Amino acid sequence: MSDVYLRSVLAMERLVARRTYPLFARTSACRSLFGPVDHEELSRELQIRLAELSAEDQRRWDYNFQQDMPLRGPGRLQWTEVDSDSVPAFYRETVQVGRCRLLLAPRPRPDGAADSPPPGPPADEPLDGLGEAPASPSSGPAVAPTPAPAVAPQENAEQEAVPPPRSQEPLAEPLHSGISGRPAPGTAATAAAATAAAATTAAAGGAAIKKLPGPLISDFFAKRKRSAPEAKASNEVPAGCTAPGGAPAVGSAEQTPRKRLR
Amino acid sequence: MELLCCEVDPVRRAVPDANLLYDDRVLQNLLTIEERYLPQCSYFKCVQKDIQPYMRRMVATWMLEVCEEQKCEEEVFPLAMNYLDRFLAGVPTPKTHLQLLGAVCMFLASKLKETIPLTAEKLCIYTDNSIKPQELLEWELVVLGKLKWNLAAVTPHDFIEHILRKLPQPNEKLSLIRKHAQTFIALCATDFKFAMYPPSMIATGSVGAAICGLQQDEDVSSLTGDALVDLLAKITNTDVDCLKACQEQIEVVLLNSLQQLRQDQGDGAKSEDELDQASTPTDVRDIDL
Repeated sequence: MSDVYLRSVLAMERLVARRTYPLFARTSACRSLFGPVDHEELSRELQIRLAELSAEDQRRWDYNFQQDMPLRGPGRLQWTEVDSDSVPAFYRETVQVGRCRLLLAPRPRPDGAADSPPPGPPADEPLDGLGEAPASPSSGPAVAPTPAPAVAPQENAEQEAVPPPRSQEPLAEPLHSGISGRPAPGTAATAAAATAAAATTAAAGGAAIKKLPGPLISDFFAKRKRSAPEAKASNEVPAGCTAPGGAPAVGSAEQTPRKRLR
Repeated sequence: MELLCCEVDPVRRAVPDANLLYDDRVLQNLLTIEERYLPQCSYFKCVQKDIQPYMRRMVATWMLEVCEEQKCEEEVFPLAMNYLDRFLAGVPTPKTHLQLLGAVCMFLASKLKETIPLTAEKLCIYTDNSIKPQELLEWELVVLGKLKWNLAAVTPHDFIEHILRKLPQPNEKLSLIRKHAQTFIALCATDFKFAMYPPSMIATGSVGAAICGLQQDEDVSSLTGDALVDLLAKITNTDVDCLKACQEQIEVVLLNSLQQLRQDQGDGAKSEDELDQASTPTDVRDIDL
């Protein structure tokens, strides 16, 4: 009945090669290289690797992603709860209903959190990120723990000295370095004002479309604490080859061939 | 009723973007960031207990065959090898999982670079169904996590056009030089020697080797020998001696692979169409060294 012409041989070849055309001849490339795969072992290994990644995320953000709660202990980051009204709508939780995206109203704080807000940093410490994050979108979402932009230079130096912890991939924290390098004048003052504002708006709350149990990540905002030496110690990966299972070798003793050195 | 399909080639290509190719800032930025994507150590010595260098070559050869059979874009194979090396530099892996890892890396690279990416099912068929599509998808997440989702690695292919446009070659010769250089890049990706070389050096060395090889048959270049190496070294800001050494290594690897090919042919067991499908060795055979 119908004749379909394909004008070019090339087109045909590609269609045959891809799944778009229901032809797949088994070729010599279809082969198992290293014998049968033990699927149970593979699945165990998968769980180990996924757990590693999840632990890595938890350590990096001081946040328990399974329970959606910030970690309590003194870590690298200190999470501070802010009212979701104080952040741009873009960072607030939404629900998708058909083609519409509805903004979720802020949920009421859990009792404990309302009674005793997370301890504020000492007065002499600039409340850097806090004042900035809600104001300028470029400083990152309020839900993300922004490493303090205006921290003392000593900390910046430390951040450079310690390679991105636990990461073989050097690009892991370019975002951070970019932010921490940026000068943030007068943040302390604005931050103080912002805290006050946040405190009042938090009390106001809002009409909730839907109540969800427990706090969500968007209810929290973390700032980097100044005291990081112990975090630094715990983050350190043994240099080079002895990196334990999965922990990639950072700063391997081996010299990578570079353009100038073979 | 007649249906007429007027598409000439289902893959539509954009015209070369002058903003990307004729601006030196792009080249400079590529040179600045390229080393971030190199594997962090020679993992056979320190990370891997089960995997030997010859196994990497086996899986690389298989991946290249799959990419060629599936007519993948040229960058897919080197990019997939970059993922594989970066993963292996951090995660001890038993050899029985190596082919799965190779398939996952091709899966990711193909999704990043192609309009019609390879499917998980197809890749599993290529492993002779030794892995399941579900496993491929699960491990995709692990590889992504271990690579910190940094997939847009710089490959030697990113430099080819920048290098070629600065050479005083007649335009009609460029496509042949490009084709040979691409073949050399694929060859380098199969050999662990080159895994920790900056992509710009591999690209420069490949173009140099391509011109030198072609020069013997016909006049493709007005520049030859040291003058050519000097110019190439200047383009990618590479040390001349390093570049020469890299080019020599590429030529050695080519010779080895040619010998291997002749041996295979000598065995007589390989069918003719098998050789046809492996387009890279076919190209390589065309070059007379």
